Amino acid sequence: MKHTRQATAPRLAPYAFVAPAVALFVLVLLIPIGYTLYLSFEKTQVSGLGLGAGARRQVFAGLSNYASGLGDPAFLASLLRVLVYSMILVPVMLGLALLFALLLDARRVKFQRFSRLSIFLPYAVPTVIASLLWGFLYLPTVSPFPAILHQAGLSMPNLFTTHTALFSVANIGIWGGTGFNMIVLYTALRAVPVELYEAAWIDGASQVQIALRIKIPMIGPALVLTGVFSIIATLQVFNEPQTLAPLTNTISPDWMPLMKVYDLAFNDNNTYGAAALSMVIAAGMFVLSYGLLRFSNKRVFQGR
Amino acid sequence: MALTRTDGALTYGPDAETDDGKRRGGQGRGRGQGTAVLPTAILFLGTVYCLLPVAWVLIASTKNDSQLFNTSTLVPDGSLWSNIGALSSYADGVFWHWLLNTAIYAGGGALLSTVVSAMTGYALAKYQFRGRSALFTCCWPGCSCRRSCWPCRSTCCSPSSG
Repeated sequence: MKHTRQATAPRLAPYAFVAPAVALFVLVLLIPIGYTLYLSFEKTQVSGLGLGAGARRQVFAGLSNYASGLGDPAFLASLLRVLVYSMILVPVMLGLALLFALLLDARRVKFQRFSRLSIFLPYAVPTVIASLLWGFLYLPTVSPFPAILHQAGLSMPNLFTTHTALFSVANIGIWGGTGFNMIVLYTALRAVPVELYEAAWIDGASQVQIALRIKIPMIGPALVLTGVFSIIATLQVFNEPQTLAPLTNTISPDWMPLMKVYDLAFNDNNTYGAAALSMVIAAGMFVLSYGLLRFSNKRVFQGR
Repeated sequence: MALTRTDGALTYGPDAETDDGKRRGGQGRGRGQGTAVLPTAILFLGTVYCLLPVAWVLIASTKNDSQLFNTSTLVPDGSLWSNIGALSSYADGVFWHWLLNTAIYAGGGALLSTVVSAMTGYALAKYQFRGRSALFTCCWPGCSCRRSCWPCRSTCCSPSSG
């Protein structure tokens, strides 16, 4: 009896440990995705005037939801827009994060502890509140910037034109995300052995040379991973533009891909179309994350 | 050294310099003295960029509707307590109920996800079993789709794990 228990215990234990995670995974991820997939192939069929109990029926739609979703110029425009948004946001945010991380790690720079805390602070502000906050700062009537610019003889540009709105929204992402990435990069910098800097210093390297030739290559893996995660996060932007949309007509309800899905589902009541677009976006994100992670795994774990 | 000292003397007194030099020197990183002016200025600009909106919202919280639009946006007014009073009395104090909901949601969510993650992580680390690698693969999408995945990102990003 004792023998069998010893033999079976290690075989059952791991499954018992992972059971809650698997149950949650199935319940909150697999089943909703499966249901969305099912809905994406359905549509509402209206018979007669659409009145009465049996007048509206849910029927199989084939690929028609996918065809109309992918054929929608507004959706394609939003896809292009989110790509441009990501290309603006990620390099600026990571560039600033790297710059600040290097400055926090550099010698003879003052106020490092205070700066570290201050620059990280916006990360603690929820994105909806950050968007409202910056939205007010962008509006000339309540913003402090027109008064400051007026003193310098300048006037405040309109931050919600078709050309500037993308930058205005990207600024919110940069403001909220720089601190987090800075901390990740700073942590990586602190883990680099000090002896390397000492050796370079004795060899006559300047602080800038040490930063460019030792520090940045040493935290290459951290840079690649923060880049990958930032790209994935920015392509799913929703909160910032959705919160700013009431302030301006420039940000339409289908400005970004996820806003388009929301608009279809809750303004047009087209659950099936929204399901189809969700599946398209999810598939795209999955392929992209998988590709990026494979790429970064190669760079990070075999590159050194 | 003499050059860096004059460089630093432009901005800060000698006490601050030696103090800073000692502290950083103790960590084995700070051998020079004085302040690097340009890097400190850049870091200061970053701090202003990050703090200014927060300062603005703190000041705005002390203004009522007409003060918000008619007085200088960088000078505080005296309406903070009446604003908080208005918030508290809104719909019979429903705001505090919402705050409680948030606390339950955040606390419960954190507790649940920590317990479940710890159990799963333990099994993945300590046992070899059928389906282990499949399970490990399933963890990735959840990780990559979340914006704020502290433990995953910070462990992945530390160079020692490479």
